[in-house]
Amino acid sequence: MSGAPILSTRGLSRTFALGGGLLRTKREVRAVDGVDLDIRPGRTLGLVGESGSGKTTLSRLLLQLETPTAGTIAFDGHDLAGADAATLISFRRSVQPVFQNPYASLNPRLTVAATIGEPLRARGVAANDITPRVARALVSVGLAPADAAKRPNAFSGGQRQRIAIARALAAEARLIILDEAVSSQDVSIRAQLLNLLKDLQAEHGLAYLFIAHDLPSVRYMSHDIAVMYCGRIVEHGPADAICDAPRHPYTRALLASCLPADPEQAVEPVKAVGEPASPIAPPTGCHFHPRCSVALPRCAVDVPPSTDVAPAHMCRCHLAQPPGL
Amino acid sequence: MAEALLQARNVTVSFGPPQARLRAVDSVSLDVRAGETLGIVGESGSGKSTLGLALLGMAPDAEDSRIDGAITFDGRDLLRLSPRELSAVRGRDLSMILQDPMTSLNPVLRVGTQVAETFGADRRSSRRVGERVEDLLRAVGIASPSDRARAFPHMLSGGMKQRVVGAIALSSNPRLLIADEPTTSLDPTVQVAFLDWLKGVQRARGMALVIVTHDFGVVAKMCDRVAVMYAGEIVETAPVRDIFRRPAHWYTRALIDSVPTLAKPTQRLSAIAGAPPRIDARPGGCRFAPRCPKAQPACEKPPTPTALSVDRSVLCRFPIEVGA
Repeated sequence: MSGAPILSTRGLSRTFALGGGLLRTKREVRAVDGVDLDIRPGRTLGLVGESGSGKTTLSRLLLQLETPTAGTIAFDGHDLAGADAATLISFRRSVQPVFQNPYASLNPRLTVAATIGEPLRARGVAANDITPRVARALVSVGLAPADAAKRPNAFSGGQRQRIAIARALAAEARLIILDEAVSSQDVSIRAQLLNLLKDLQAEHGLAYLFIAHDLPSVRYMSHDIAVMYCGRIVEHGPADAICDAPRHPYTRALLASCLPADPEQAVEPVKAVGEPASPIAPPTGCHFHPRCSVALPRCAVDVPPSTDVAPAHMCRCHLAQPPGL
Repeated sequence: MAEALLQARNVTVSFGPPQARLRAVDSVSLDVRAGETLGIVGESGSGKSTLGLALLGMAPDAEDSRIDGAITFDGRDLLRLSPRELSAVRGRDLSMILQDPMTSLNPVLRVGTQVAETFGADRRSSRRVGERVEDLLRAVGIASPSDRARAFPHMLSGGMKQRVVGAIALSSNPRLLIADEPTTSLDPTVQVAFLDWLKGVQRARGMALVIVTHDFGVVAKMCDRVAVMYAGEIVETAPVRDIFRRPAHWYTRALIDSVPTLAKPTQRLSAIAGAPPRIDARPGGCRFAPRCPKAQPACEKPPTPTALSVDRSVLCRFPIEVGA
């Protein structure tokens, strides 16, 4: 652990209302359900989950693009609900997103200089100071200062993601939320971006929330990994522990679903039947129980509590025992 | 060595106006043998999907597109058949699964109706057709097939939709199935189940399978042989073990080294510098030379495919030494 968390959530939840027409009963979707996370300077927290797990809603909550229905988000120790203007301004500068689709997330009519300079202008940086800062940001992501005059259509997908990263750097971000930011890139470009992000972290002490469905990439990037299923974090711990000694049956199923790196690698059978549960009609008790190969009768009834199975390693499974039991 | 079921020779797929013709696939040759799984792997823009379509005699939906060369299936050149003859071969012996099951199925028709169409049945349900549809859905591992046959596509999950697409593609008992990124849109736990199912079907029927993919994990899991594409050309063809253990082309090696794996989690990825060339700005010589760590002055002239053994060929003047 290095330093106090930049962002810290406790019991963070977001519920959406669904339906509720004239003759229909109103239903609720618990997209994010009681999430506790800490994101610290210089560290990467990986977040894995399949479709419907709530990982994107969680990232939008952390960016204040959604309002929580319960729970708290603390930024540098200050609760963001009811925070004063100075804290919110500092939050906006410090926590920056890089989204999945760089063809939609950059304004096609703005030059790169205008896109990267926007957060600087917004906070009153002098005009003649903006150009050198934009140039520095471009160089640090492997682009040229001359690229500042171009518009997004002059760039490939991988280069556009570099521009989005440069924008976060120019704004002096301390935490970058990377929601499937490299998933749509070709493998050779993805490797360039992952290496760039690692270098920038080493250089600037950045924190990342790295959200992906691809476990090998998450492990490559992360110090800690949180596994999300149907709105809940089901396992959370050091990356090595999650990948080498997973405790939750869902984490094991995800690991077994990773395609082999080599045709001769022994492949474990996948220990999950069926498809990911839908948060619209989640199974009772442990949401994973209908797909779980080791489920007990109580798993269909009781929600498993968070159990510390090792130092800094949490698992929500009735079968997970704390050490020494 | 098994005899080739499908032989592609000097296949070029081009489009655009005569003065600026672009070649998505450029003079490619390959064999698909009966019962084998061949992977066509490459990055976006490499021409892999266009080649996959061309193997069925289909040119891309673009201005003045055409396929040149020869594609021989079962002794007949698909490119010389009349549209009616070609359509008959496609309906019977050749079939295809596309990436996105949401767009492969008609959203306003019931699943059963769409499966029944493959029998040449009209849309009025007859009992016998209904039974055949249910048998087919059951055969692809869909539980309660009579309910599913009455469902609309949006009521099914992604994995189930892809199985319906599979049921339609396999209904004619094809001898060759081309699957273009069949699991890219599926969740990891569902992806593996679909691939296992596809492999099981292929083995049971002795069908040849061509998988077009960007994912070396899919290649490792499924394929017997692999063709690696770059900028419209096949740069290497080899048995799957050799592709991973002893690649001959520098691009193949660099691609494999740029994929993170759980086995080597902390080893720094060796990224390939630069990006693939655009289709209208390809280098004149070896197309990978500008990104290649071993490029030499001679690479400014185009390489010709070199056979390394009966089973391997490479498009490189200075390939990696792979031994006998």
